[in-house]
Amino acid sequence: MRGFKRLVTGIAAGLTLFANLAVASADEASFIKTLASQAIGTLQDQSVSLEVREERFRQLLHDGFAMRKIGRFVVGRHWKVMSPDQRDEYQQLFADWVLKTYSARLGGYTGQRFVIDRTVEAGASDIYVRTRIVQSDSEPMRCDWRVRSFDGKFKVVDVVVEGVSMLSTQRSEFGAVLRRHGPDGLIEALQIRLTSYPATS
Amino acid sequence: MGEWSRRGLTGRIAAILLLGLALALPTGGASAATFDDGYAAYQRGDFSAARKIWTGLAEGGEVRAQYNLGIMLDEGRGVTVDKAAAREWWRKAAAQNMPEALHNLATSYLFGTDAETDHAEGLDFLVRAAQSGLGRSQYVLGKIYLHGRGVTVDEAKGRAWIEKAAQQGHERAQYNMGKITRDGIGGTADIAAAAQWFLRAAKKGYAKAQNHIGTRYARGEGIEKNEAEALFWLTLAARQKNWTAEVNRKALAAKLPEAIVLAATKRADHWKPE
Repeated sequence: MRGFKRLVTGIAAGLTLFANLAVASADEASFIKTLASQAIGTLQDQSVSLEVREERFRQLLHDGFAMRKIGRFVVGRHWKVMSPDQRDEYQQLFADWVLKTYSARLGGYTGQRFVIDRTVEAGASDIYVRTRIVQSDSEPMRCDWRVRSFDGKFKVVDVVVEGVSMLSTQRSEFGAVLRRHGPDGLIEALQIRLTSYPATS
Repeated sequence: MGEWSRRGLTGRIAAILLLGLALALPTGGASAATFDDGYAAYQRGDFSAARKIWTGLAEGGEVRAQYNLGIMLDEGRGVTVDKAAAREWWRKAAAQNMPEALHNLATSYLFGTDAETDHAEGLDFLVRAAQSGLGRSQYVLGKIYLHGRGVTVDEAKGRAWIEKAAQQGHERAQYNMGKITRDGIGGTADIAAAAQWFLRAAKKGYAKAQNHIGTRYARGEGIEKNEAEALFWLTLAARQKNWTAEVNRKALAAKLPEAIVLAATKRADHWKPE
């Protein structure tokens, strides 16, 4: 009898957990859907130049990404040895770098459409929202968004484009520079990389 | 015979002229797309059309098409990122001495994190770009000499390149000239000149320079002391999330009359970079 009761309690708890998870996933999916539709609206505004569209797209990403958390994560243990000014400068450059990289890779296309496939759990606190970016003239691009709630507000903590995680890519790239040149070297490297010139008319 | 020959010659000349005319005229709808057609497609976000047009032109030696294809491959616009292929196109454009291609090629080799990192090669391209007069290249080259990244430290050389970039209006270079002249790196120290360099970069909206000129106004270092002006610049820097500026702003605001604090805040609200 006690065993049966425990089983019922267990099932009930499981169902509640499942229901909560389903609600949470729906919320995260709708956060991504809103972010995506805003992004597409911005990118399809042909009344302004590509550069202006991408600048607006960058602002959207900036607001939707947990940029400082991501920035801190990718430098790993080196964060501890960075001074407040180094941290400030690095965080600013990191945000510029990530936004430049991802606005070029995800933005700019015409006839883009986001399809949300499903949501899956990622670790204890995150949800992956699996999407496809469908373009009229090429293969769809798989894009998974790792979403976490911060004080009730959803933020993207990682983007996995075609199976390649932004977090792990940046962590390994920056790690190599940090090991050889330290925090100042990384700051300088980001500054230098950000000086590259755009397409010419 | 002579009559016949003359007719024949005239006919042949007419035929050659007609042929020449036919070759010079565009052939119906099959006229080749131009670089501008490619750029219009790029601006529309039709990257695949832009790539097709520019690939044809780039293979024929059009330097801007070579350079832009490099950008698309480097940034992954409508195509999988391919740094090596991007470098190949930039190399072709660099071989035609396009300064921007030289610069991008340089930055892709310097501090690169992939297998292609090659400081010596990057430096070679960078020197050529800097010598051609590109401010960004001059600034980066100056920093490399100052910190001895892949070269022997040469502060005088570093200062000279950064000054060239600063004179062209490069804000980071101007901020760096502020620090260089303040500390006398690679030349004489001059705190008045330092303050002016910080001020020039601050007016362009560079947060770190705004913090520096703010503290200089607060102390009267190299510039006449003016706490209202100091608070104004510190406020602008703090709004850009400059941590040190926020600390300095709070400390200064706490000891100034409320009217001055309000005036500085109001001025900052309406300020626009040069």
